[in-house]
Amino acid sequence: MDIWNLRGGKLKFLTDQQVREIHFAALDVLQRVGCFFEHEEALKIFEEAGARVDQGKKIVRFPHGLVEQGIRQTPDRIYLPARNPKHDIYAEEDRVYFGPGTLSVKVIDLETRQCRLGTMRDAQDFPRLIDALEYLHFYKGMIHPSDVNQKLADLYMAYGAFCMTEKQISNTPYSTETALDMIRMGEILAGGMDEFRLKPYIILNMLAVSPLQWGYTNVNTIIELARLRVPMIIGSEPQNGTTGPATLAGALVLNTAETLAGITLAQLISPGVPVMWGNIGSLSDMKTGLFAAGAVELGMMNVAASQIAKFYRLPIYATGGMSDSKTSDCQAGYEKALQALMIALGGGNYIHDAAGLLESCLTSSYEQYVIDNEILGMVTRVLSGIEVSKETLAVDVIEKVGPRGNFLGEMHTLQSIPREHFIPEISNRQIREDWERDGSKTTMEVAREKAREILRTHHPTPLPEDVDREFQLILKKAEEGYGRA
Amino acid sequence: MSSQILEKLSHAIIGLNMEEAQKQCKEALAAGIAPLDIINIGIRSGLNAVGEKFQRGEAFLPELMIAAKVTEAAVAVVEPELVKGGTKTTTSAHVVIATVQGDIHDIGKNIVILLMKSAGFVVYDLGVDQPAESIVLKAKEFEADVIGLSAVLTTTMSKMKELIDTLIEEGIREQFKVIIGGAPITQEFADAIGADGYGPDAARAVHLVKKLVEKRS
Repeated sequence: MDIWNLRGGKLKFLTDQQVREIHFAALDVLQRVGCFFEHEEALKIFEEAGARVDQGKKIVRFPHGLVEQGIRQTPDRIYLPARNPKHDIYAEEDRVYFGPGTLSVKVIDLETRQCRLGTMRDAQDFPRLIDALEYLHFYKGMIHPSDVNQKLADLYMAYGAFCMTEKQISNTPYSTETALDMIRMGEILAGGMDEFRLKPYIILNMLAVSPLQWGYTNVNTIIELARLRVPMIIGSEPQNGTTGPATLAGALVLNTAETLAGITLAQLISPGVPVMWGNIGSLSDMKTGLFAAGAVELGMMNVAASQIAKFYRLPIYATGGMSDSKTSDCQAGYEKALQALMIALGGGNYIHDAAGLLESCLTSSYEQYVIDNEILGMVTRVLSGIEVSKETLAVDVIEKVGPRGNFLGEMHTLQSIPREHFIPEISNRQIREDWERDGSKTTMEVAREKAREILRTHHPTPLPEDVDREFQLILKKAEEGYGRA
Repeated sequence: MSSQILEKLSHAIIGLNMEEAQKQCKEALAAGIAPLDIINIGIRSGLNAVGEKFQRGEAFLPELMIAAKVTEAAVAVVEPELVKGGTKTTTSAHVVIATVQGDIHDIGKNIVILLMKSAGFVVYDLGVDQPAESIVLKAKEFEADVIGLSAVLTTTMSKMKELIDTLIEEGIREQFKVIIGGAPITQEFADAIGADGYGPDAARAVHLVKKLVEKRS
């Protein structure tokens, strides 16, 4: 299994016609209803470009052509290099990559088993753990450290990530200032802004607030990043039944309209600036009103959103592999497995939130990362498909073994294992006696032991000393400047 | 020189290279190495190395099976010289093995047989669907030390007890060690029917026979 050459796209929920219907419905929404932009400069840019802008209500209504012109300028792929080139990512077409994500605030402590607030130590240990987990391709900032300057928590998170993983990095900025400082970190690693544009070592995501609302900070950050001509992720997160229509198609229309509005702004500022299409929509649970992160419909909508993104020839920042369970139990297993498999088969490119998260993304768990790595390993196996060749059709070995023989002692068997069989690391296939002899451990216990072992032994190559010094200088300046209370 | 050949032989087994193993056996014989040393030092140490790798979870079962096959082929080269010289192999365990009546599953049994043979036991494979009486008959005929019974179907497990009852009825229960195995078999079941042992997998079945035969001698 070549985990760096995974291709999805076998699963589709929409016909080509239905994709176009969603596209036209989104254009309708943007022209008839419009989108709220809490940003004077953005309103000015839209007005000058020919949009109908209500300056008082801050509502922008978009002519179809303006939106379609913007989306046509975007590049088809985004290259995302990692500190270690073997982890480089090419977000394009049906290529599939997995990573964590979402800013959980709590952690299930690996030793005490108690749920507690995340710390800077976690913001270093999680990337270190993920660095060692085979089926996670990238690292997205996923734990909010409660014990650092809260204005700079995202910047500290990015610093922790750059130090503790050689994998590709993404983060969610809390402010435009921190966003620019994170880009500056990437710039230092690349050796200048011109180099960073070719080798963007970090990508940031900005989301609309559904329905049809772009807040000041994210708009401001989109404008600044577009001016720098660096890649970014633009998307939205409607929740069916509360901040979005209850219907799956309706939520897709809203996600499409909001995302197109954000992309149009970026393209007006900087034609051709690379953007990734973002969809993180899910249901609101209609009994409680809470975000249903583990909903199976999230998987379905993300597959459909991948089809829509491909219609626009854009890579997609997809979502899948989440759970609403409070602990690593059966619910966590089935919700995550269904979502991850679906979105991978659907050809989501940069699939975040794919591991480690519990409690509707509020909590991260070390052992859950190890369990999800196993789920993603199985998904990886599925994506590798069924190879059909003379060798795999195996007529020769069937003849050699013949009726009443067995295949166990055949070279063909031994040689086929690495290509054909997923070898589980934590799943148990022992006989009961042996399982009992080894302590009758549950998956969670085995995963916890593995997480401990990784954290005890795994240390990625540190940042070059001079780079680390410059990163620390960025933090120091931020603390003394915009980060002051 | 001779230790070099035996090392090469051992490596050929570990490398699952049948041709090379047989070639090294011939060279060892030509160099005048005692056939028993060729088997014990050259061949079996190679197989043991693969077996240990397997026990540590570092090798897949097919690797062990192929190593056992290579071992068998290598032993076949040396064996005629052993017979000529009049020496006996070091192990003396004679095992009669069968899948019980009503059951035609045999892959597990065959794996056990292969590993037992490569461990140096003399194994008589009676095949599948064997009634208790004929297994007992063959065990007497071959003067077996151990009777091995296999069953995959829950419905045929009871046949194992029938065999033990037959031995008791004939007053020859003490002549044979009876060991059992198969997917539905547990140690509890083995104890309940009065079997002498249970092998949860092929490697442990081999250990079991060694232990039982040691006790006996």
